[in-house]
Amino acid sequence: MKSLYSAVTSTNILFSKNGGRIYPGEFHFGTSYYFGVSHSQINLCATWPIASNGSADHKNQFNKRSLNKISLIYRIAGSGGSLSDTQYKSQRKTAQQSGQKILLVDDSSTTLLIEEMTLREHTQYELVTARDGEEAVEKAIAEQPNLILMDVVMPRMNGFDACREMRKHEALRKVPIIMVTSRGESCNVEQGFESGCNDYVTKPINGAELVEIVNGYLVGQGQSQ
Amino acid sequence: MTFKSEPPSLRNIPNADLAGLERDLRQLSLRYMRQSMELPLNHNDQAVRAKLYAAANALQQAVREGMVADAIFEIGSNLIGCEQMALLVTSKKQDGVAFSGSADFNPQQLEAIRRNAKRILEEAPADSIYIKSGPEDRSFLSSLGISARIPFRLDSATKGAIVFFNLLPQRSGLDAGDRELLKLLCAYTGPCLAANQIKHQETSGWVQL
Repeated sequence: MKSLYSAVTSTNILFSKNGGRIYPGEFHFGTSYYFGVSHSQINLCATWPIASNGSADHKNQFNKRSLNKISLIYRIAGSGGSLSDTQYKSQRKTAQQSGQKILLVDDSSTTLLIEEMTLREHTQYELVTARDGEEAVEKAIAEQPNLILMDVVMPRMNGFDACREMRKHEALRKVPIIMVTSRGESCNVEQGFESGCNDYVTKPINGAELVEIVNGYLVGQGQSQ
Repeated sequence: MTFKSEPPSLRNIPNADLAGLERDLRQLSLRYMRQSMELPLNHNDQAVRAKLYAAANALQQAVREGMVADAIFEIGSNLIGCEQMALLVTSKKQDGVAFSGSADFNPQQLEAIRRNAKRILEEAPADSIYIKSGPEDRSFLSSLGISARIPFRLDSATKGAIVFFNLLPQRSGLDAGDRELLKLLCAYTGPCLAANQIKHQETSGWVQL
């Protein structure tokens, strides 16, 4: 059976201390909703079961009241939807903000290839690349990316040092930096956070995880701009 | 161990075959790219196709640039999640084994490889891909810390193997997707290494064991 999709973007949702609730009146019961979320840095990209009364409950780790903007794309199993797979892909791209830029930094051509292919196919972000830490700092200053995905072990300047260097520049202080590391042990992760990075993903790169984490930082950021 | 300035002696493949090899890898790479792009991100096979695309692309570039061993180490490190890899190539003239390894081996591991190189190539059976089955695997290869051994052939004869040792901590084992990558390496490493000798640009050091 052909899958059909529809989409809603920029739904404002007020989360209370104990979780959030949305009432998507026109949504279908028993469907699963796929999310890319928000400037709150909480990644909701997960299946969200819809209750029979049409509401969707989400228990989350919010510890304060916050207004979140969510790009919501949902798939309707069976008939009743209005979009084909191709239209769904197009809408999903539209749901993300165009005009945002990601700096990809890696000395590995295979990793860069997978990152570029995945992000070009599944998002609309503009991509800039660098092959080592020094080039990354130069490009970050020149290009002012909205997000940086950076390898750790690189020639000339490693990812941690490049991250520290970037944080010295006012314009780059708040830019999310996600380390792409082959070393996921806690000591390496701690070192990454100490250098000023916001998050990390481990190699080998998984496309779904990559898009999820990038959208987690950028979708909300784009809507708030 | 004596250092050699060039890769071990495999039969040089004719230039016509070299062009064919590059063409095959380019077509393979494009096919995997299309397959990857057609699948939704949450499809199990999407990530596998993307990695196959990147691996075929890396081998194609490596043949052109004469950097095949480096490309194999890059594939292992970035697509499989293993930073301890060795290339073992049988050497008829010296009745020995030529070795090229990634940088992460300690002296004890290198000595273990030197002592057991021939047996590593001959075990389990020699012409099949070996993948460690889990912690319960008590085989000889597993006892050396080997996660996978991928034989490669030239002219239908097994000429050596790629050996993956300990995986990175985030990898608990190799899965079906990894097996697809290993099959690609099994099929193309022999011809690519042979093609490499035409270029003589390999940067990875080779050691005669």
